[in-house]
Amino acid sequence: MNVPVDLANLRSMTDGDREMEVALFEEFYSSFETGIAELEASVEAPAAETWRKQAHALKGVALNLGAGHLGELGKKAQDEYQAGAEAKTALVQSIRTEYEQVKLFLQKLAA
Amino acid sequence: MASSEPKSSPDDPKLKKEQAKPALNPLFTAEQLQYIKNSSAERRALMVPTLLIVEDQEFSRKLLEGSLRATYECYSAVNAAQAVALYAEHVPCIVLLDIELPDMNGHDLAAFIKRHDPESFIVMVTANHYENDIKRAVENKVQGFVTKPFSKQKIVDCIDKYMRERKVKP
Repeated sequence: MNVPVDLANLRSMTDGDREMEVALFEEFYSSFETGIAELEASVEAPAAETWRKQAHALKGVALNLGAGHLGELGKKAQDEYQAGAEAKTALVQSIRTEYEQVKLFLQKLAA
Repeated sequence: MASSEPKSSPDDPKLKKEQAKPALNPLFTAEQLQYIKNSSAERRALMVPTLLIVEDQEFSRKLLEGSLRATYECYSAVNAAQAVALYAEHVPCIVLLDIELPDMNGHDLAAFIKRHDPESFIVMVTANHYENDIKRAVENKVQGFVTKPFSKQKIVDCIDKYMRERKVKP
């Protein structure tokens, strides 16, 4: 079964500390909710650098969590920072959809 | 570099034009420089290295801190200005340095630290795989380049490298 997150790396860092893991999940939600809002606000060309930096930050967070597909979407957003507003809006939507799946997965895990 | 690499990197001139905000111009005072110099031998003699984590992204910073704090003395900075202040205060053995910082490029910060403290041990940490980032890391003679995702092994390998390479004088 395909899961949206592989926690092996994260767990190598937390040494299986459940409390730290849950705190990191919360930090992940916070980073992505703020980050997606920032992306949505910077789809227009003059904000391309803000878009690129935000996409880069989200890519790093997703990769460190172990959310590979979400990380790939972050990379795509970073690489395509000069795309048009329509393409960027579609990309943010893809990121949001994948993020919601990851969040659901983590919430089930933490429950 | 792999063919999937982007055509543009943060060094793209078009992007540079957009970056109107001036970058931090870091400075160590004469007293700080003397303190760094005086702390060199003491730093080399430490059996458990001290670390400075420079990472603006909270998730990644907390992940590193949480993983390392139980074993190592860690200091954390969220930007280059804080990093310079903490470096001067604690003269850490190892710096884990993110490349994209809000107030300065991590490569420029690495070059600044290396210029003033040639014995510094710096590991660049990034989610990017740009050829230019690797080139700049080599030019700055940093000791490591770790890509995200982090794993305990990647970080421990850097710390082991420091322990092997530090030159403890009798």
